[in-house]
Amino acid sequence: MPVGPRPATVPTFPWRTKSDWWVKNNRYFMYMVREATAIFAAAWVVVFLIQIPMMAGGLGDPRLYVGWLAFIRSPLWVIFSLTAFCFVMYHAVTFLGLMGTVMATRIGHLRVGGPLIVGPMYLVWIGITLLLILLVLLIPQLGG
Amino acid sequence: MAASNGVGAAHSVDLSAVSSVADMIKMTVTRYRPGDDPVPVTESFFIPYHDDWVVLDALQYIKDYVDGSLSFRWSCHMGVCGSCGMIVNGTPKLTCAAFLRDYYPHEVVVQPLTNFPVVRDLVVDIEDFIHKLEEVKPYIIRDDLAAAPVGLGNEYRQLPEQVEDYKQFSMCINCMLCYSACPVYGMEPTFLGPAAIALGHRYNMDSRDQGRNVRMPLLGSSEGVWECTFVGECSVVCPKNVDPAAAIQRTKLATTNDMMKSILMPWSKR
Amino acid sequence: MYRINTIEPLWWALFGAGGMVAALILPIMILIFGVFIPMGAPDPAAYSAFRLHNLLDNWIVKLFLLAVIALPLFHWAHRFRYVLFDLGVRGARMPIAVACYGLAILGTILTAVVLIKA
Repeated sequence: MPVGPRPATVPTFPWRTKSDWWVKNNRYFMYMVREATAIFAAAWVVVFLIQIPMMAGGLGDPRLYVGWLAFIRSPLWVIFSLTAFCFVMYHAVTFLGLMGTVMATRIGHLRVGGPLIVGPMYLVWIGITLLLILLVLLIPQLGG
Repeated sequence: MAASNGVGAAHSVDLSAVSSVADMIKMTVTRYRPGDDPVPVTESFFIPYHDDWVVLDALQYIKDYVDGSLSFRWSCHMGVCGSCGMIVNGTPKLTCAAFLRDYYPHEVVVQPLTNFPVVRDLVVDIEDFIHKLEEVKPYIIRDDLAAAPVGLGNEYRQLPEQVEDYKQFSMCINCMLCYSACPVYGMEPTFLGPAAIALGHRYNMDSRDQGRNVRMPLLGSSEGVWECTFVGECSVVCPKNVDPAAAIQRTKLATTNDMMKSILMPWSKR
Repeated sequence: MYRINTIEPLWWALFGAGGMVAALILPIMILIFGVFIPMGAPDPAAYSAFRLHNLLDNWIVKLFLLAVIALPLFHWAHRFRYVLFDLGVRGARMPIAVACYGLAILGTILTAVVLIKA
C-alpha cells in the first residue's frame, strides 16, 4: 500500500538529491565505506572458493597442491587478504555495534540492549577466533 | 530603527540605533520568492552578534530590522514545537537551539530543510510528512472499546517498564530534521520515513494498544522499513533522542520474526 | 496475523546472517588463509596436502565453509543493491535486485557443487 509522496497544495520548488550526497558529510561517507566492506568480504570468499578444488585435490594430484602454495604465497593474495581484512574488521566493529540497537529488548524488568548485547557478541567473536586458530593452525593432528 | 540599504545581496544595519554591540556576524540565507526567483538564491546579511543569540534570533532580527519579507517558520522558541527546523551550516538543526556562538566568527549559512519542496525562502512544504504521520494510525487501537467500562478506576494501567517500552519514541516533536537528514527519503519520497515509523513503533510497543496487526502491513511494506539502509543520520540529528533508526531496525526484526513464525507455525496467531 | 506486500524479510534475514558470519568468522579466516599460512604457519603440517584433503572431506567442514562462503554473498547482494540506489541509480530497481540476489544464489549453488566434489 503506497503512501506517498503526497503532492504539495501550493506551488513549490522541488527537491532533488544529487548522487554525491554521501561525500557532503563525514558520517555519510563512513556509511558508504561500511556498505563497501561487503564487496571486500564477498570478493575474498569468492577467491577462497576458487582455492578449494586445489586444496582438496592436492593429495591426488601434487601439481594442484604446488599450484595452491604458489597462489597463496604470491604477494598479490597476501596484500589482497590484508586489504580485505581491514575492511572486514571495519564491518565487524560497525555491524556488532549496531546489533545493540537492532536486537534491544526487555526481559521482565531487565532492559537488554547496547553493551549487554554487544559485549557478549565480542566474547563470541574472541571465542571463534581462538577456536579457529587452535583447530586450523595449532592442532594439525586433527584431520591430519 | 535600522534600515536596510536595499541594494544588492548584502545588507548592513545602523548599529547605533540597535545597541552598543561591536561584533557583527554574517548570515547567509536561502531566498526563494516564487514568481521572482526561478531557482532558490542566497542572500547575505551582516547583523549584530550576541553570544546568547540562537540562529532563530538572528533570523528574527533580519526580519524585524533588515528585510521584513524573509519567510521562515517558528513558534515556541524553546525546542518544543518543532517548527523552526532548518539546515544550519549543512546540518539539520532546530534554529532555536543552534547558538550563534558555536559558529562565530564564521558565517552562518541557513537553508530550508533538504528533501522537501520549498514554498518560500526557508519554508518547506510538509504535506507529505503530515500525510505519512496519519498513515501509521498514531493512536491507541482497542478491540474492546465499545464494551469497555469508562470512568475512574477503569483506565488501562501500565507498569513503569511498560511505559519505558515506548516512552522514548513518544518524545517526537515532528520537526522533520530526521526526514531532512535521511538520504533514502531524499531519493525515494515514497519511503515512509523515520519519524512516521518511530511513531508507529511507539504505538506498537504500547501495552494498552491492540492495533499492531493493523499497522504492520504498512510499516512492514516495501515502502515502510525495508527502504531504510540504516545510515543512522536520523538519530544523530534528532533533537529529542527519539532514535528513529532503532525503531526502524527493530520493526524490521519484528516483521522478519513474524514472517518466519507464520511460515514455520502457520497455526499460531499473534 | 497480518500480510505484507514484500518478501524483503527473507533477504534481510540472509543479509543479517551473512553480516554476522562476515563479522564473527571472516576476519580470522582471512588472517589464517590470507596471511598466516602464506607467511608460514607455526607447523607446516597444518596445511599439508594430506590434511587439507582430509579436512575438506569432512561434512562438518563442508557445511561450515558453505555458510562462510555463501552467506557473505547474500550480505553483499543486499548491500550492493542499495549502494547502487544510494549512488543515484534510479529506476530498474527490480532488475538490480534480481541480478544481485541471483548472483548470490548462483554463488551458493556453485559453492555447494565445489564442496560436494571436494
